[in-house]
Amino acid sequence: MKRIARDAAAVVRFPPLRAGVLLLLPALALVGVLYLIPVGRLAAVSFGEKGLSLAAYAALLDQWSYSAILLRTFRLSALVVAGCVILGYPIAYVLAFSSARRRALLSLLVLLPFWTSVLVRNYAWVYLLRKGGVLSVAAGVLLPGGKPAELLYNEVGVVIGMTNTLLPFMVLPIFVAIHSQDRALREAAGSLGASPSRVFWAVTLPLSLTGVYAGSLLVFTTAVGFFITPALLGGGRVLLAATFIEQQIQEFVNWPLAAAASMILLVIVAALVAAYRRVTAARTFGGERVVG
Amino acid sequence: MEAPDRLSGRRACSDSGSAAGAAGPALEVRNLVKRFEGITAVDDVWFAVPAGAFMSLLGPSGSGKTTVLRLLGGFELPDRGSIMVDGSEISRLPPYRRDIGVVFQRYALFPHITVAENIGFALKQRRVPKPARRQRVEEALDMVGLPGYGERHPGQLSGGQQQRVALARALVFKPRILVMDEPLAALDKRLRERMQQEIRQLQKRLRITTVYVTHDQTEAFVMSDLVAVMNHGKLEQIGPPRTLYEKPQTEFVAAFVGDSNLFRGSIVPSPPAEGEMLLNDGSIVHCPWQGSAPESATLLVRPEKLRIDRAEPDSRRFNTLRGRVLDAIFLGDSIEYIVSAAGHEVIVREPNRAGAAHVRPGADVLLSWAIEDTVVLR
Repeated sequence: MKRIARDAAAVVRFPPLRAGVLLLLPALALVGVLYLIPVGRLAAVSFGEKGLSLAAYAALLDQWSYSAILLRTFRLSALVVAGCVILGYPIAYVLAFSSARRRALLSLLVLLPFWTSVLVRNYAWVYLLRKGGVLSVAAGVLLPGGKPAELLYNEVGVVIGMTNTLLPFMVLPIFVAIHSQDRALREAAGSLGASPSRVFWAVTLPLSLTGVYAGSLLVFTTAVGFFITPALLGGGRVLLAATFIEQQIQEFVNWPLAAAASMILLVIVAALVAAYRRVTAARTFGGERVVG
Repeated sequence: MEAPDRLSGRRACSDSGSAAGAAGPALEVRNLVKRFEGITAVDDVWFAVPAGAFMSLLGPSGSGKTTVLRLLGGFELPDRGSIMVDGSEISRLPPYRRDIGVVFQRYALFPHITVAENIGFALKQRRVPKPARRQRVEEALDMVGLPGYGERHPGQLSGGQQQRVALARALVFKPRILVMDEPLAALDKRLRERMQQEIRQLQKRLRITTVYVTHDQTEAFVMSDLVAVMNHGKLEQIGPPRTLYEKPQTEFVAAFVGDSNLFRGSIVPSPPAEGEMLLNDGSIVHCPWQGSAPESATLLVRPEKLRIDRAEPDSRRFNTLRGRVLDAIFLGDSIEYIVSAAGHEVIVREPNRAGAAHVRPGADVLLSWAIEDTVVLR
């Protein structure tokens, strides 16, 4: 029966290319009007409002106070990615090996941040992280020094809040990558003498890396543009790129500088996407996708 | 608890004397039971495989043969019963402590590492030093006819090549038992037949005790010293292919292994060692019979044991039924007749050679067969 189903699946073909393009037209139009044109306009503005000038880029790269903001944004985003991998991988692993019922319950918990209002979520963190709050005292007990830890209105708080928000973006791709692995691969490794921990390091983990890469890309690109969480949990002391861009437009009406900062973010994110595609392409062996 | 005789290990061993040496069974399964959510997938299975023998587990899908294999591999734990390899109990050990080579249905090669790393995987787990590992991987590649393929990735190989790699990977660490789960199911017919021969040759050369799961009766017969037929989780019968074909003990085995004509009726003992059977339509035939009391039973006669005769044959040696030919099908090597006789549609297969009866549909004929070719099923 299984074979018949598989053969049937192989017979299903994508519609011919022309029909495909027609179906894509509405989406293409939307992206074109709402995305490509504004981005093109932004790119133009970044080179000066009158004539062609690299002044905005020069200012961003020259003045330390500006470039520090971009570097801080990337550094914190990378920390958020690391936090999401460390917290998200075990969750995804447990999800992948849970019964359907337990999986449904656990996914609900993972997805809960998605359905919570951004403000409610962030003020909840303020309450948890404030000096003398539960986490602050607990961290103080665990860390040397014994004093309640400073967790709020600094980079620590921002990273914690962003990690919480972005965790589902990491969990879901890793879950898919683990869940879609053929059980026989793990069984084969076991029959060849690998203990469960060896099976994990030699088979499950390497085959789930595509999910880790995909999740990292999603988390990083989203984190780079975070606005509300850094503002609320950073308490104005942790200035990140999105806030900086907003300030330049709203307060200083410096469109070229804001546009140039946006373009730098865009280019770096695009480069990461390209790198991701290259890495995952290298992981398709002999034309056979490892993770579907 | 004692096993019914037809399933017992001792019987299996004596049946397969030609296959292996006189040593005790390399693999012995007793009283094996596995349930999944109320469904008994494996129901009190007993068998024994002599060292170096090739045993097939044959049955339709859902018969429990794959579950038996998964119990052997340690991927499931039995609810009851024992699995002994060379006399030691393994049924509760995890897979990585069993030393059993497994070839999976869809190969289960690791896609992220090379063919050589796949084959060397078990040696790496056993901490075989790298130079020795490399040499044994190369020997294994030679053994399955893929020298020089070590640096490729599994995705770059054809189905047949992947199959060979899976075989090399399961054999390279010299496991005590080799188990294979329908390893050829995904290959086309011609390649499958070649692989059957290759696997069998290799198995004989290495003298490795093998359990092979298949639903294909021809494959089981071509490859095996012993065939165990399973149905609904039970082991129906185990024996060499010839015994299963000539002396099936149940209707299921008779029907699953080859074509069969079944006649129902009741037997009356008529000594010595023979019975008269009154078929349901009233005709009387003779059959080998050692019972002492009348009993209802089913008779089996294989299509090629039947002959279409013109004259009445010697009734002391042959059974005879009158019938009418309903259809004649030319198969090339033989001609198959469908004959209406004794209230049944009887299949008769005549070899295609000079002197064979060539009759047309509608002809009245005599069907006959040797008394010793009659098999009594219960």
